[in-house]
Amino acid sequence: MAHLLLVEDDAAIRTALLRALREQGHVVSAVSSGMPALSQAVEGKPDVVLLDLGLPDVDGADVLSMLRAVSDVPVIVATARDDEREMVRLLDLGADDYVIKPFTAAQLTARVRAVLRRSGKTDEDPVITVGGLVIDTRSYEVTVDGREVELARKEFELLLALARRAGEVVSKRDLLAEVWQLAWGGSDRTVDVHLSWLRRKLGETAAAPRYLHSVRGVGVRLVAPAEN
Amino acid sequence: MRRRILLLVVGMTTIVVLAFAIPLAIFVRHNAYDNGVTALGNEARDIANYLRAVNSTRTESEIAAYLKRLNSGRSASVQLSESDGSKIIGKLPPGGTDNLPALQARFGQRAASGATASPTPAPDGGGGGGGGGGTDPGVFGRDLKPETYAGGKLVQLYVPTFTGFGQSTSGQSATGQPSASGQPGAAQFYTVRVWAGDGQLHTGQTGPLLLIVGVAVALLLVGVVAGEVLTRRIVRPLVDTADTAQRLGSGDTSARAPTTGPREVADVGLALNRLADRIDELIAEERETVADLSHRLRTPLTALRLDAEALRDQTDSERIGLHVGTLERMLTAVIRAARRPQREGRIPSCDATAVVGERVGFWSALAEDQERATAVSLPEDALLVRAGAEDLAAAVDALVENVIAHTPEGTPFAVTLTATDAGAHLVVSDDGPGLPPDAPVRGRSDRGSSGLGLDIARRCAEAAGGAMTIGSSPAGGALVALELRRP
Repeated sequence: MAHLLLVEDDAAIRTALLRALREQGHVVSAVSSGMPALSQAVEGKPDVVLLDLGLPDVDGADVLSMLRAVSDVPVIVATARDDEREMVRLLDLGADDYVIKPFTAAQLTARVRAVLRRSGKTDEDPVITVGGLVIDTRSYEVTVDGREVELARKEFELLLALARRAGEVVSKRDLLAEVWQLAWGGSDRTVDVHLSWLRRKLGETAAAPRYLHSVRGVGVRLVAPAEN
Repeated sequence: MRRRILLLVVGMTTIVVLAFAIPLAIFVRHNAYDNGVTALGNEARDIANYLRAVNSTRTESEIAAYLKRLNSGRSASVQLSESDGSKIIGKLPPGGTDNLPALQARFGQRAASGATASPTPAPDGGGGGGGGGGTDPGVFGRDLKPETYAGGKLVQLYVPTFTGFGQSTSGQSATGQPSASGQPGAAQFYTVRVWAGDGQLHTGQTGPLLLIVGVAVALLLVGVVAGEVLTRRIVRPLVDTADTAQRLGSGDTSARAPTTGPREVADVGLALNRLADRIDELIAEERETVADLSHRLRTPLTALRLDAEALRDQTDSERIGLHVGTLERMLTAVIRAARRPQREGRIPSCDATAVVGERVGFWSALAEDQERATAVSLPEDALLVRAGAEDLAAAVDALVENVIAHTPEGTPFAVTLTATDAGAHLVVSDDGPGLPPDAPVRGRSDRGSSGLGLDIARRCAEAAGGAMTIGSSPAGGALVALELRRP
């Protein structure tokens, strides 16, 4: 599928990520420090660079700014710090996206997909259409029957996760893992309340659903109204 | 300390005042007594002078009137001694005439020296004008020695009177007292007795003694006031400093001592403030270290998580994943707690009205979908409480989520926020089946957020200086109340 460059000094994480990303069908090359990462990024021409900030030789942030000087390859940064200032700093330095440790393989591959989509390096259709519902994954725009819908980020991600598997019943556990990165221990109510908001914004209710159908005890399904 | 300083000042004042007042009082007492005794003698002399003032005898009624006029309060009497007996005018000393001591002094004559002088005053031998006039100034008053008698002082004067020039009276007493010197003529002999009790002799001291006592008391009061002012100046900053130390001890690291007052006390305050600053720095460093360590733990945790996901056995994967999830939440909580002061300042605060309103609004969509009647009551004005907005929001989320998770769809619930004297009172109640008795403990279960709710709410309330109480709503459902203090 895509060629990824993984820059990670921790051997355990590197091994686990290599395996997980390869399972997803990506071609992955891995390096464990900053300077080899720079030369690999230039010579290997990867589609996406996954950069861990805690590197033994050079600070990850410095690698990022050096990389930006010579290449515009999309970079996803993995960081242990979750404060807003750090996020802003990384995005300002030229990161395209970030994942906060500890992350799951699913989360990382979702980010990779999103970045590839935005950079146009994917054969996936950037616009998903389910009946009158149109989701543009590049511009984050959603319209229902031509009417524009303003969605919060989590609502958008939830809708996108359901739209990708339109017609399938998606479990709340899966949604928690994919949208909230809470693979285990998240609360179903978190999904419920966002679903309620999504319904409101799409102009429907739980009692009279059009697109979003709750399947009690199983999960949620997104279908076009006509099919129902 | 305040009492001790006051005691010291009052004690010192008392000692100084007593050191002056006691000798002064003794002196005043003596002086008054002396004055009393002198006055006694003077009165006797006055009477004697009166009796001898002119070359004629006084009539009894004249003498009585004179004595009455004197009205000194002393017992003054005049005894007329005539050949045919004696008569007493005025008031005799207590005990009457019977036990009176012998006469020692004759008016106009130097008293016999020594207390045991001849009891019989020798009548004036007609010593001519000098002595005859009874005006020997050397004798007057100086040598009059009042005797101690019947609990007081007694002056007795034997007063011969003249009836004509060159003649002097000669004494002859009916009381067997001095006999006449043998001078012929119509002579009169008087014995003047003036007596005053000790109590009366001391009367003159009352005024001065009262003055001394008054001044002493006034000085003591001045001492007390000065002591009070002094202790306040010293003790108040010290008390404030001690109070600051107490607050620091009880965890309020924002407490700072006043640096006013006496220099030594101000120095203590400064030192304490430096210590508090140092504590702040240490805590900040410590927190940063904790946050840093926790961040570093996230890297191995990532490896653990990825490996757990990759396990072939789905049950194992899920079980281990659950543990990793718990560990991850705890780690996040540690980092959040360590970063809290950096994020929210030393004392976090937020507008409870806004936060509760926002969160309830967030859940309203789900409540509506589940056809739950939601009663929300919020104060009109902003209501500041001692909790970070994130924490309070998490607590409200947890409580509302609890209601939604543990009551059937369609069950009404209510969120009420009221302002109290101490801060705010937040109540989340429902009409559901009520909470199980072990509800507060449920938060420690491994199943994560399904039971964590009450624990989150309780921690938020306790961090805000309040408490969480659990009860039953009027409809028999669950009622959870959070008491939040103002910042």
